[in-house]
Order: sequence, then structure tokens, then C-alpha cells
Amino acid sequence: MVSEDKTNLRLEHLHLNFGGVRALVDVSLEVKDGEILSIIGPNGAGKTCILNCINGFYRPQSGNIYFEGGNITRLPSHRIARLGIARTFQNIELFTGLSVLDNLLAGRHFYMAGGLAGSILGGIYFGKAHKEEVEQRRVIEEIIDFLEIEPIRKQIVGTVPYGLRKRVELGRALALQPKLLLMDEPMAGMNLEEKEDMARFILDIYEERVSTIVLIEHDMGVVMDISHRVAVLDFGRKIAEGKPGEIKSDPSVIKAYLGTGKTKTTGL
Amino acid sequence: MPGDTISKIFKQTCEKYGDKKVALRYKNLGVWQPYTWKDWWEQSKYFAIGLMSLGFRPGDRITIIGDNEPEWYFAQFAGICAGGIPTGAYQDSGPDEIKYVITQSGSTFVVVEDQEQVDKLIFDYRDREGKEQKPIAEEVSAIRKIIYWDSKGLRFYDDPILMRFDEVVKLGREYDNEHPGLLEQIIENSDAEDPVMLTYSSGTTGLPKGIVHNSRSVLAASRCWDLPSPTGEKDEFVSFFPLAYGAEFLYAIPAFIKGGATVNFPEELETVATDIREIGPSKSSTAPRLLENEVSFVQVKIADASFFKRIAYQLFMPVGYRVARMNLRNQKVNLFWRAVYALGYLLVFRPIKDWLAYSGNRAMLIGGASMAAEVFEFFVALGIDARMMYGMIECTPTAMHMKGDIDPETSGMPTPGSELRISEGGEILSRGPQRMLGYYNNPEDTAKLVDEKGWVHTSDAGFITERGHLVCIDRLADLGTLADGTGFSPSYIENKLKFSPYIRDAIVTGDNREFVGALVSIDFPNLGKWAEVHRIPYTTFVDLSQKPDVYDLIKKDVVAINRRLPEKQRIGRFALLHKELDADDAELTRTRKLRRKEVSQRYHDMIEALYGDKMEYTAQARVTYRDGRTATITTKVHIASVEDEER
Repeated sequence: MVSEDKTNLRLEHLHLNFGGVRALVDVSLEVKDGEILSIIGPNGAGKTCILNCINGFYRPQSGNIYFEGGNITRLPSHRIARLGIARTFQNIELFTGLSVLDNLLAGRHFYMAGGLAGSILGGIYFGKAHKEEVEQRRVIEEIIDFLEIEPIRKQIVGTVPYGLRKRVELGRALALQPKLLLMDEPMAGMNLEEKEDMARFILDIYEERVSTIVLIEHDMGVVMDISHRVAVLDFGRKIAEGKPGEIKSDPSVIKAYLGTGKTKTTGL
Repeated sequence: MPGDTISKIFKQTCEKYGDKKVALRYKNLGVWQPYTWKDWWEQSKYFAIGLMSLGFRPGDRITIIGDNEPEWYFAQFAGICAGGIPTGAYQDSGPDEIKYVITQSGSTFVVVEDQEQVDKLIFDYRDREGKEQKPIAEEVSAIRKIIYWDSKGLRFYDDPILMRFDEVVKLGREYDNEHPGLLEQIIENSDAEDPVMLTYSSGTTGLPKGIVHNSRSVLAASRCWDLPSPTGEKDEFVSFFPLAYGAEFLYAIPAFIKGGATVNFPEELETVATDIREIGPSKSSTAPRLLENEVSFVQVKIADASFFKRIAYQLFMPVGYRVARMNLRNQKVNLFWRAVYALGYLLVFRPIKDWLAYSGNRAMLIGGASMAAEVFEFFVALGIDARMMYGMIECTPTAMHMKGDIDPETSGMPTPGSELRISEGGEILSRGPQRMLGYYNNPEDTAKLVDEKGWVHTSDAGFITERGHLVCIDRLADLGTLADGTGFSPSYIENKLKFSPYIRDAIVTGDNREFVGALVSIDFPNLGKWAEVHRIPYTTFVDLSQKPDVYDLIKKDVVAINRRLPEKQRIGRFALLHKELDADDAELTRTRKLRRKEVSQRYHDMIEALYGDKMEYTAQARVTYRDGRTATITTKVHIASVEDEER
């Protein structure tokens, strides 16, 4: 449940430029503990840039990002992941040559304590390393059960259909047991049925696994249905923020994104 | 008399094996998780007592909805042990179908698997006509509790009617401490005449009817099932038929409980094929439809296989058929053929058996609709002890292939204790100890089925051969007559068509017409593969089904089938359906039998077009989604005629 007073993630006055392109302009945003926040906006509005800044893929020129009170702006990506921030990508970034299981296990590597000697012994399944393998596999199997991907567990990711790959990638993010989950267009390119499935999974994840989710999504129906709050970006600026109902009727949002429906008819 | 009821036998076996033997195995988290007889007994016992503490009384009904998982059995046997009557609804049924089962049976408790089923019960829904309906849990006041066993996604549901499975078990443990021996007493007093099973007919005609069986009839049916090879401690069985169908409980389960065998549950419906292979069940109950699919699967895979494998298959399969036929006719197979067969077994049959998960198989019983002899012979050729069984759930099995007396064209001899007769109208009548008690709360329909002398009127047309074997031709009402008076059996021709790996379903027509026509539904996966190999681009089912190349391919199969049919019964024209037949559209039953009446109404215009002048038809199909929404698809469907010389 959303707690009004506890902040999970806070962005303060983020500025991000690529040469002359101003990707993010003074973006401030707060994600409360236990909420689903959606970021919407037209193409090129800077939505993915925000996620990339949080992740440490991009460094904002100025501004700060705080996660659970600590400043993570300058931390490298792997440190940020270790703090409990996981994400999925718009264009699925999986190891296509590995099996679904191995991809998910890759998401567990922070939790493997064996070290070099342990890994070598793990290869021949011996003692502690063996126990650890079983332990990690159990966690992964629970995620497989959760996401209902049992039939493809041993398939090579490259041979798995697109809709399922999206789910595998989500599984890998969950394997990290994150406190904050960032999802970049989880429903892009899906048909209606797959979208509904994914919406259900997001809600199930919210209920059972990760309490705070930041979502980038184009499908307005889904966004309005499942998010607690929505933030709207346009040309790198945050133009609105609020409950789904408020956003739907906000004139500046309608102008920038949802469209007025009048402009076309007059011109032609 | 001890051990004459299901609950007594169940208790005895549980006591006999305790925690020393595995009773159920369920693949969960990728690992087969065992449940011993003691586990099963405790789950069922305390669940039963838990229900009783919530007001369940002997004779009460309980509806179970879910996939094949141990909890289904736990709940079912809890219901039986508490003197109640368990029934099931299909897990993919819509809310109105579920509501029908719950109200018709008057269930006081509903045990469901997960959120999907709970949602069907506690939320508003749209029925088949698209009308808004109030939640079932509100409308049906008899329901005391809805109990679920998989709590995923249900954490924030706070409807007081909901309860978790393990909460009920816990309740049962507490109640048992206060009132010990309660359940044992009920089991002790159970009688072989008490009803133990209520299952709903698939509804090929009209509304589903509730079929009631008691311990006596269930045990009689199960004894017949056990005839080919008695079930023992080492036997393994895989449960994957929808449990709501009831056939598994009727045949297999009593035998397994008596013999102390193990039942395995696959992980998911989608993983059945791999899971079965891991188990290699020693006994199997199967249906013609599945075997047809398996034959198609083998044919397609062989066509895809390497050169050597293809040659080996083409070389040895005829040998297999030849030896199988000799064996079936009880002819002595000479040393030469035995040697060749042995080589074929090593190279071809054994690997195929392994892929189809029959390597450990000792007996395969085939029940349900009629099947093409070609399919049956295929499995005999592989070296499997296959037997056909005949019977409707109301009274089954009444005929069966006995050892050394097997004829692929028939359903075998009457089972011990049963009698078979053909009425003057050509209808199969049967009588035996396996007969049900009656239809639940439906004396009119019971009287229609069973006459005063106890004969069950099956509505099947058939005859008895010189050997005394029963042959079931078709449903009596389905038999057709061509305009010139020639009689024909649609399902006989349909079964022949379905032997083709590229045909999934077929609807054969021709009653009062000039010639026989067929609407054919393609096998999308198999044909899709064929199209890929032959570099035929396609997008969707509709697109593929209307490709001229596909028409040519199917036509070849139709011509081949025509050659084996009497001249006047040959298929004159056919069209490829633009959509798959589906139970959600009420075209098939949940057990995938054709609902001929619905289908002929639905495709009435298309059937008319088969006999018209235009060789094209514009189809508008209404598709119903699971949640009740509908959509319309418009397609041009071609009609192909099979030329006279080809006929």
C-alpha cells in the first residue's frame, strides 16, 4: 500500500544534455514507497532517459537522485543494482544463446557467495557450492512458477517468442529481489491478450513481490487502470503529475500527448 | 462387508502403506514432489472434518474446479469420506456453465484452484447472451464457502465467503481434537449403494445432465478397466484428462487405490507431453482424439527427420502393420517376420514409443468416440497392448477387447456381467452392474435412458458381428441418408479424414443431399510447418487455410480417403474452415467432441454453399472470448470440388 510520508526514490532538478540536445530539463520527481508510478509522454520526451539516469547508465549534468535516502547519482550501475533497483528494457536485453533458466540465474549472481573457489567447485557440484546452486534454483523456480513460464524453462532464449521473452526479462529483474522495479514499456508490441496477461503480472508482482514500481508505458488504458500516480513528460520537461483521473483531464497533457482531436479536421 | 465402498478402500490402503509409499506425485518448481498415502489421508481427513465443522453434512454436494493437482483429489476424497457427493466443473468453463453445475448439484461448498476461478465466482460477469449478471456467490445463496488452494494474487481479497485450503485443514485438526473419531465413524457406516460421484455429461445434446454413481457401480467399472492387466504397487499413472470429466475417477482411481499404485500430476497443461515422458506411465486411459494427434505428430516429425530415419520408418512401418495384423488375427508369426519385426522394433518402434511416452506402457485403454482402424493399428504395430472400450459414462464399459480377441474395427466383447443387445431400430442397448444410479434430480431423463428392465438406451447405432463383437457406427440421430437413399455415417468419414496429419476436425454433411460434403478444419501447427518447408508464406490461421496450395494438399488426402469409401459415400466437395472449432464457441464439448447440432446451425449458410453453384462463400464468424466479449471476422472461403474421376 502507498505510504504518503515515506519516499522510495527522489529525483531533484535533473538536467541531462547530449551536446545541444536537452534530454531532461529540471526534472524533479518523487516515488513514494509502495506505489505504482507511470511515466508517459510522446516519443523522445525523455522517459527512458530518466530510467537510464536512475540506473547509472547516464550521468545527469546536474541534479541528484536519492534512493532510500542515499545519493546514488554518481554510483556505477552494478552498485545501484545491488542496492535493490532492477529494470527491464524496451528492446529486451537477454543472453539469447543461453537457456531461460540460465538467464534467470544470471539475475541471482549478487546472491551467490561462493567466490572464485566456490564457483569452480560449483561446476562439479560439491559441498557448499552445491547447496548454494540448489538454493538459487529454488528461488528461480518460484519466479518461473509465478510468471507461468514452466513450458519454456529449458529452451534457449533465442527460440522463445517475443511475448514470452518479455516475461523472461521481467523474471530476471525479479530474480534480483529488488525493492524498486523499473519497467520500460513492458507491453510494447504485444497483442491484447498478452497485454492483459502482462497487466495482471504487474499487479501480482506489486501485491506479492515488489512494492514500488516505476512504469513507462504507451498504452493509456493500462496506465490509467493500474497506476496510482502518473507523471507526464514533454520535450524533457515534466508538464504534469497526479492521479490518473486528474491527468486525463489536464489540458496541457491533452495538448501534448492525448491530442485534442480538432487540429486535423480544420487543416484538411 | 469390509472394503466395499470407495472410502473404506481408501482408508485401508492409506493405513496399509502409511508414509512408506508414494501415492501422488506433483511436479512443482520443476521437481517431482511426492505425497505419501499418509499425506493424502491426512489432507483429505482434516479437510473433510474442516468442512464438517463449517456445516457440511453427509449427502451434501461439493463442486471442485481446477487443474489436475493433488488438492483436487484431497477435496474429492474428503467429500467422499464425509459421506458427501463431489462434483467438478471444467476449469476453462465460463461463469454461466459453472453456475449451472453449482445450482443443479445444489453444492454448499465450492473448492477452486486459484484467482482465475475465484474471480468467476465473486465478480459480475456477462453471460453467453452478453447480459450483465450478478456474482455467482451472491446469486446462489446455498454456497457457504469458496475454498481456494493457490493463493497467488488473492492476498487482498477480503470477501468473507473466501477461505484458504490449509485454513480448512487446520480447522479440521482442531475440530478433530475436540471430537475424535467422527470421520472414521462415517466411513465405517458407508454403504456401497451411497452415491460417491456426480459428473456432468458433456452436453452433446442439450443441457448437461448430472450422472450419479455409487461405490458399487464405480468399482464394477474399475474392475473392467483392470482386466487387461491388474494394477499393482509398481504401476504409474499420469492424470491429465480434466478431472471434471469423471472418467478417470470411474476407471483408474479405484484400481489404483486398491493396487497401491502412484498417480502423477503434470506441472502445467502445456508441459504434459514432457512430464509424461519423464514418468513413462505403465497404464494409460486415452481417447481417440489424443491418439489421432499422436499419429499426426509422428508423421510430421518423420517427414522432418533425416534421410536415414525416414528410410527406416518407411521400411519398417509396413512390417509393423503386417505383424500387427497377423497378431490381431491370431495367426502364427513365422520366424522370419519375427526377426524383421525385432529389428524394426530396435530401430523404429522403440524410439517412437519412447517419444510418445509409451516405453513403460503395459496396457492402453481407449474409450470415447469411435476411431479409425488405421490409428488403432498404428499403436499395435508399435508393440503396444491397445484395447478399445465402449460405453457412455452412464454405463461403462459395456464392451471391451479381451486378450487374444481384438479386432480394430470393433469395440470388443461385452464386459463380465454386462449384456448388449441391438434394438429393432438399430440402437445399442446395454445393461450391467456399472450402470449409474440415475441423473441427478432429473427422473424424466433417467426414465428416457433406462427402461423398466434396466436396459440403457445409448442412442448409438451399432451392430454385433459374427464373432460377437460390438461395432458402434455413430450416434443414431447423426446417421444421414443421401437423396438417393444411400445411408452414411458422418463420424465414420470424419474419423477417416482426421487420420490425415493436416486435418484437425471435420464436419461431414449430406443428409437429403446429392452427395457427401465436408467442412474441414486444418491442423494449424502441422500445416504451418508444412507451409514453412514448402516456402509458402502465410500470416494467420485464416490466411493459411485459404491458400490454393493447402487446398491441393488436403484434396490429395480427400481423394485417398475416397478410394477407401463406398462409391456413393465419397466426398464430393469440401471447404476449409476459416477458424478452428472451439469449445468456447460451443462447437465442441469440453472433451472435444463435435456438437453436431450447434455446428450445423452455425455453419448452415456455409453448408448450403457447399451444395450451391458458387465456389466461394463469404463467412462471418462470431468469436467469443473467455471473458464474454465478442468479435466478428469476415473471410472469403473457397469451396473445392473433388472431380468425378478422382472420386
